Amino acid sequence: MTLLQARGLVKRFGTFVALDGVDLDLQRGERLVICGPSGSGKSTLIRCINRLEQPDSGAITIEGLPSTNLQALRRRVGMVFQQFNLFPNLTARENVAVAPRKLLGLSRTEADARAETLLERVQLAGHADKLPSGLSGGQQQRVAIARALAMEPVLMLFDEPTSALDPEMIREVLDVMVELGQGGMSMIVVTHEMGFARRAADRIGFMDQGRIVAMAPPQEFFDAPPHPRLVRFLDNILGH
Amino acid sequence: MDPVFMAEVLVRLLPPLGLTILLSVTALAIATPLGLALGAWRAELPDRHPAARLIDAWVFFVRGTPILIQIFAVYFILPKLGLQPPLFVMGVGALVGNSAGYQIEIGRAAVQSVPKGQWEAALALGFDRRASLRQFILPQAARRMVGPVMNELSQLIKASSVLSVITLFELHKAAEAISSANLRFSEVIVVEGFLYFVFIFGISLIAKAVERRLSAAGGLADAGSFAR
Amino acid sequence: MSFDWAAFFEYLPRLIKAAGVTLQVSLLSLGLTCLLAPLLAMGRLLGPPPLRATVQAFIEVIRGLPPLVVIAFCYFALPKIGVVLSGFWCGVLALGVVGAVYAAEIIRSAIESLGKGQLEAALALGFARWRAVLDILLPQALRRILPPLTNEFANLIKASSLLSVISVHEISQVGQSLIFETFVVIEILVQMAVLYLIIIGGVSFLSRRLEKGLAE
Repeated sequence: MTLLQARGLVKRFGTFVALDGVDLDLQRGERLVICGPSGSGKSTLIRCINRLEQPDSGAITIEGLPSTNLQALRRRVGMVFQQFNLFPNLTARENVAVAPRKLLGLSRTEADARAETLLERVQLAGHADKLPSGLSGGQQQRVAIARALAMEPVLMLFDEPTSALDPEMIREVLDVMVELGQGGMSMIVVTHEMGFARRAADRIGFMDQGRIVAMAPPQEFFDAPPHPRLVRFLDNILGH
Repeated sequence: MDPVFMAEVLVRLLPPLGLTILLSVTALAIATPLGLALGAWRAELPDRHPAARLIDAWVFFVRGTPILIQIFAVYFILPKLGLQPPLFVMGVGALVGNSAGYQIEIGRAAVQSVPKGQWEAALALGFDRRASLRQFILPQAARRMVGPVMNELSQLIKASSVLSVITLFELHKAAEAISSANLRFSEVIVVEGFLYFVFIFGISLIAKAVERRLSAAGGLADAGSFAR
Repeated sequence: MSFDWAAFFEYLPRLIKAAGVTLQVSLLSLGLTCLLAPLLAMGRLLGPPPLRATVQAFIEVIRGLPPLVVIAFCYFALPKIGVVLSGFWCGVLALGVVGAVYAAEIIRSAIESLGKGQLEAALALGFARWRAVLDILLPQALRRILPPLTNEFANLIKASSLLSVISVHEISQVGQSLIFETFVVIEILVQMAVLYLIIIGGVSFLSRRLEKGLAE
């Protein structure tokens, strides 16, 4: 069943064309990884899906419905940022609980309970009372994942979630994401982590100059790259 | 509202506007080098040094009292000491004393905002403190002073209006005189306000543009104060 | 030039009473500032474009005027449109509005200094823009707002001296008329300065304490 359908997405920043007519379908429960050189439009694409960027033209439907109500749309779509963007004045628990409490009308106890469960799920059970400044980058990013999950989204977007992390912390974040995917969450992940893509993705898309130029299951994507520019990209990123 | 009268007022207010600008620019020209130099010097002095205490006392007085009091002090005390300078000199004197007090803080903050690593690098190369300050620290600090000092000019234009209380015929006093002579207050105030606004807003636009060009250096935040 | 302690103590009570008026008028304008500033800041940040432009124009105009002109406007021009206020309330209105404009800029720049990421994170969770600002950004910005805001209070006290020109009996007006009445200059000037230093120094002290407290 189709969860997300995007047709003809175009986004320009001044004269720069970030998205040049992108079509994308995502099935429920599907895990899609998007990679590509910097400036190819990957981040813009997922930022258009929850409308942090307003596409200049094109249409997006989620669960068959066009996203007329911005807030309703964003409540159903979770997002994890490259720079975590945790709220620095709130503890880990409060970061996770704030949206359910303020937006879904949960009581403080209910919201806190939900936060505890989610923090446990991202292996941070003992860190609920810490402020973001007291957490490592990897821990912060896992709190950010829990925060997005707290709204019980039908789709999770990850915008280069490990790019700002030290190498030894990348693994712990990716493990959480793999587990999330195995649990049936629909996900779109923009990342350069090809190991993760091979391990966890159902399909991998390759973007270049504002278009998705290749899209294939991992096996085919890596073993028989369907596009010459993808071959070069994979050589650069994997092949030394 | 009578546009003919307002046009007339506008023309009559131009010379006093000139005096306002002359007062402010003269005061800035004296207070800026004085204040920034003292501020940079103060940044390097230990707190217990007598000169540091003197500078601190000046800053404390200037920032802790309204400029009106400072103007009164100049206006009433100088004659007691047997000095009777022209009003213009008294006015500039009061503005300089006030502005330098604020600019000492600008200079000091700018010097102290240069990262410690810059000092260490200069000292490690074998420069002494004085040479390090002149060669490396001040040029970096100077960029951070540009915005606040331009802001200081609009502060001075605003502050100079208070000189009306010692009957110095700058823009505000002149406007007051015209309006009470004609008993047409609102029209005169609108014209007066327009003249102040054009200048102060103009300066703020220029300051913003300059700040943006220098922003790589990280300007000091605009204190955003409105009263002196 | 010698210091006349007898004169000093003779006039001190009148100036202390005037200091009470200074405090009163400053506190009331601070109240008005605290009421108006958030409205202006939110109008500027969240309002529909025409409101945003109007608020911004208002802020720029007031910032481009000496406070003395705003005071004169309230005192001389407002009666023309039927708003007649006593000198005291006129002063409260003028200072409150001027203070609010600067305080609104403090609030706005504090919120904008939090960076785009915080706003985006809140939006991505499904907060509407205005709720993101009020629920997520404002509490964070508060610690950057309060210290400069107390500093604005010190500015209000300084600006209250300008109300002497519309005969509000605060420190500057009372001191000035005493000087002209008695020709006792130095003693009265010292009293005025010391009273201001005590009040403003006290406020700055509180401001620094607050800043330190919030930094922890």
